[in-house]
Amino acid sequence: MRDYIIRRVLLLIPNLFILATLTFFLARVLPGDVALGLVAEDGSVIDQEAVLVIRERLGLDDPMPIQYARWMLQLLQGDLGKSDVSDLSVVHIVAETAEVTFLLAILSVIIGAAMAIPFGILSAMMRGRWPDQVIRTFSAVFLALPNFWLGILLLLALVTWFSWSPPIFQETFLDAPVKQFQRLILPAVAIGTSFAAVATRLTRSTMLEVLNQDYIRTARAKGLFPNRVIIRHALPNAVLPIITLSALLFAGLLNGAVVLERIFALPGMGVEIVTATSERDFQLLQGLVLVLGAFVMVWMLLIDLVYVALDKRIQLE
Amino acid sequence: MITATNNPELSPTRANRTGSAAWRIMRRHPTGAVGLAITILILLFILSAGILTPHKYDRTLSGKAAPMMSRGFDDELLVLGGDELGRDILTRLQHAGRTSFVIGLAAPLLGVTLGTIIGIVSAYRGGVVDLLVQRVVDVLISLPGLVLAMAVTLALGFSVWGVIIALSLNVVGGSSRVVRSHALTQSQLEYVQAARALGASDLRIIFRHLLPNSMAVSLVLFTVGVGAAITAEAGLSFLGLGVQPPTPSWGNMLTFAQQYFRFGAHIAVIPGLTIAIVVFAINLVGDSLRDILDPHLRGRG
Amino acid sequence: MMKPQITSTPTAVALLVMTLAAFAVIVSCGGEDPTATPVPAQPTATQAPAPTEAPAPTEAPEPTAAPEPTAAMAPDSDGKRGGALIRGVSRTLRAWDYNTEAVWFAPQSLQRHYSNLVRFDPADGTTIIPDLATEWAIADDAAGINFTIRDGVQFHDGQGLTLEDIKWTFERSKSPPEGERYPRLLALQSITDITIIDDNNITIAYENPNAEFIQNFAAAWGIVFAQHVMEQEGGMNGPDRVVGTGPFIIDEAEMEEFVTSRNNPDYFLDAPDGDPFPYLDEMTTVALSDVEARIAAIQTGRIDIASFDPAEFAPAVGALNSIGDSVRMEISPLAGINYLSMNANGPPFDDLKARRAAYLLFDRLRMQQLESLPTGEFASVPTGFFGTVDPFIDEIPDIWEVSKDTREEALAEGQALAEELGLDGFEMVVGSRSFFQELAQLAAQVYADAGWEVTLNVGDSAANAELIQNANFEMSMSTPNVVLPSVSAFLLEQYLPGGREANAAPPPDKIYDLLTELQGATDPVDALAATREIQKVMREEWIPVVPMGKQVGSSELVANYVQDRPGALGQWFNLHTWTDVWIDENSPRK
Repeated sequence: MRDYIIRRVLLLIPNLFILATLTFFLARVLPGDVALGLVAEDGSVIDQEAVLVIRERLGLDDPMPIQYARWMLQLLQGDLGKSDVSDLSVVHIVAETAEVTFLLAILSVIIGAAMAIPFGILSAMMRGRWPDQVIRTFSAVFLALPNFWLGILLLLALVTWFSWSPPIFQETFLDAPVKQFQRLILPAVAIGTSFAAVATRLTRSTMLEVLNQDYIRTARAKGLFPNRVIIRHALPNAVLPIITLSALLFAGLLNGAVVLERIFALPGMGVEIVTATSERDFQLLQGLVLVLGAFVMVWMLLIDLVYVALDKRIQLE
Repeated sequence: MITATNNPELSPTRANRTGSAAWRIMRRHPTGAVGLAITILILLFILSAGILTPHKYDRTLSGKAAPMMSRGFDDELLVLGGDELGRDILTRLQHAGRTSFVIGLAAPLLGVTLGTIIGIVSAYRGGVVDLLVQRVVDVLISLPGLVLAMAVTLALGFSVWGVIIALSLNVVGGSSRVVRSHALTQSQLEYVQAARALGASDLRIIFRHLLPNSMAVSLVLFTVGVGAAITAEAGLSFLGLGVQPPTPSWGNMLTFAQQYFRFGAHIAVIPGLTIAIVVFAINLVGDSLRDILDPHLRGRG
Repeated sequence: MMKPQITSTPTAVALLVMTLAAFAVIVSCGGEDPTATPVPAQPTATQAPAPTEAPAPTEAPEPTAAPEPTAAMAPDSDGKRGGALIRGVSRTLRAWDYNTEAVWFAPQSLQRHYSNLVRFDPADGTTIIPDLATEWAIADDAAGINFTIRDGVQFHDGQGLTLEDIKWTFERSKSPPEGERYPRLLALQSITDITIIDDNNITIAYENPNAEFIQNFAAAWGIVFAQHVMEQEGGMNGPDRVVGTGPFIIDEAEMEEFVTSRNNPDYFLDAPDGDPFPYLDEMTTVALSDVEARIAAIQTGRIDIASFDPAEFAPAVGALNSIGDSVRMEISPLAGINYLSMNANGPPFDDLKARRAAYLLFDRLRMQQLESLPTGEFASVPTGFFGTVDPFIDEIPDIWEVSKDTREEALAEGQALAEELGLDGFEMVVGSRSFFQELAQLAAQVYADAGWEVTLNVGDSAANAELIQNANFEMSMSTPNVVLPSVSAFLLEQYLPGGREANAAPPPDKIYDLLTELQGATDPVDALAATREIQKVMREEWIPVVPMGKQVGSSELVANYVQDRPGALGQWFNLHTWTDVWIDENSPRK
């Protein structure tokens, strides 16, 4: 067990190295660079002199290996660098934007789980009857809706029928939890439903497996209240796979965040990544993607370790 | 964690009795049959581009956002109305369907094929190769696919192929992981050990034994990927990084229609609903296929 | 083993529910029965500016003091004071010192904290009116301006404004610090000398005679900074460094998100009620990049004004139609046009005849038809090379080759020219930024009608910039907005070498002579004559671009908002400091 943990943690080091390398080349394959991105913003003007000045200032005219070495050295010193456009430190930008993105992801998981667990259990218990069929069909439907479209439709529906739209000012969750919740709820529902679609099926199949186990059958045969059986035995077994799934799908949840943050004007990491990409702000793009990737890696590791600790049935490799 | 068993319904020995087998499968999996029927209908609809309507997909026929069943400048009938540039939505849906289906099929095909090869080789070779390959896979899995796809489409210049390659990268990581764990159990099995003892070459073992046995898993991963790729293309389009005009795709039709939503919601609802129905149908097929091929994969994303 | 039991019934039910939901949205959001013919909306139809309303830009400023803006206003200001106005825009700012940016987002959020020496009258966008300077006089040789600065002006931090601040500001624009660049102030680099005459007078001299040079000081970027603030450690590194003499004091701001400002009680301009402007207690600009989100916000009263880019004209009209009476629309004309650049670095457009063929074959009436909105409004109107600043815009249907009367002839002449050059069925690559893909696709159709085959190459800004830089195209879609409302500025900024059209054909030498004539003209009649001659040469001997249409302008949906003077918001490149704006009791923020 301890060896396994040590091994997994040590593996993070090569992973991070590969991640850093990948992010570097991910930025460099983009056509053009920040000089063009900045200058091109307002039309077709290409001020050659300005382009050269910007390139020299940012070291973009150096050969690729030198730029790569500089990026790696910088990382080794624990420095993510500064945005090429705004000159703000990447760490600062991450600190400003991370809250929204992670709150959105977490809220989506909560909404998804809140839908998935009861519906999944109901579906399993009513297996083959009409509630099961309706739930399964709806989960397939929600999986099929592009989540940005769902977000826009939700917004339109609320505006049209209830004359309500989310608050427009960004505040931290601690300062104004209600407002921030109102801001996040629509995009979270849009992302959460597609998560729920997957999680409902998972809950259902896990529940079916559990319900088929001998001790539950025995308990049921003895005439114990089905509710108690479910809460005591079946529920804990259903929650575990959903936690695992949330780890596996976390990167996917962030996909949804990238698109929905834009629609709902949420100042999160997704919006920042899209802007950095279109402006060719290499330093910022590399920094943000690295942080996001590293976070997901660590998150997956933690979930894995929790899973191993909780589920003794898992065979260590 | 994930294993596959050979399912008698699809084992090669019964392959020649496909007719009756297909009927039995359809009887047992009515949702899959419905999904398949919808998919085939949509495919027929797409393939009839140029036959069903007399219009060109890139030609403005009417004012912007013309209502359904309206007439164009030269009295052309626009059954589903005109889009944001007054082009026939019905015709565009068909042509866009080609793009979206090509992306929907090619991206997971490419991704799963690569993932399968990587997974099998990684599992079979083990050791340092496995360790290194799995590190790259770790990284691929931990990155939001859209971010990766954004960079790759930009680099490859917004073409359909650019989008295909970009979206296939999303699939490689996950599918190689699943195939690897499947292949790991396979390579422990007696027949592989026996083949190895008999002196079969690595390539032979991989191509004769491991690859065919992973096909079921790969096929399931592929069907799941089709729907995902079609919605992912829509997401990329929304960010302005999908297939670029004048090539239509369901995703860019939906995106460009947003601005004219309030002149006539049909121009955004029709492509959106099309995507939803198609992905829904394909997912139904995928679910049934999963049930048929491998009950243990059920419900695992 | 589990067997799925779903039958096809729930599938059908689900599809039905989805369809119903979608149609519910159609019915309630589309505003009208989708099968009904759209009726033009009254408010917008009347407000789309006709070409005749275009201001005459070449009118030389009077070398005397213009009337105080307060003179024309009603003396009654009951109920005007107080309240907070929130304006939703597509983007806010990316730098605290917005001189470093070429984009127009930044002034919308920051300009109200500053003053200029003079400014454009928001009512027409071209007349020069006083700001810090109460009077100004242009030198006889038109190569210098004397400004008389008002007394007792204070910066927001309490320090008094001195002429040294003004001198420091424009010396900084003239020669920016190492590594800095002020893309919208390049014209100020021709300043030769700044002299403080006495306590109230400062003279700024520049290289070439130019009667319109004063416009540079009125433009959105020509703001006056506080030297003592700018020279602090770190420079313009945060909102606390946004210190000016403007009507609003910055309160709270977050880059890319919002800027909130409060009333400056010591502002130097007085309202008719005797107290200083502005009426508002608070003014906020907030970024809502998604159009639907912006519309939703004004529909639910979260914002008072929703501002739309020129390219967002269609959704703005659509929103107005579906929201109804609670909002109205205002349109600010822009000095902007849509045109196709021609790559004159190689064949065929290095040849004037080929450019002329392209110019004649572009059927502008067809373009206008293709671009018209469902409400019947035109998203753009025919134009020459100078958009709204063209003083002869009324004559355009006569002088312009593809008008109703001459359309057939012009198209035939274009065809003949194309055939002569072997350009019939010409295949060309047209580049465009994704943002303008609609216009590019329509342009492709117009050329397809003429038998030319167009391959579109659409990419994001930087990718498109690379395409243009590598001259890897025949034509490219542009929709520029010019900062200064004048023909000479348009020429310099846009078409002449050193301007944006890096790949345009070089002008005939005459153009330079005519430009000098135009700039030196202190008499408006001479200026008009020179302008007419420039246009003739451009059409006959140069043809740098193919004009497609003049943008209607930027549009705003407004609710609960009133301003004292007539005219549009004029917020784009023209100075609008939000002084005489007030909100009525209907606003929840009054």
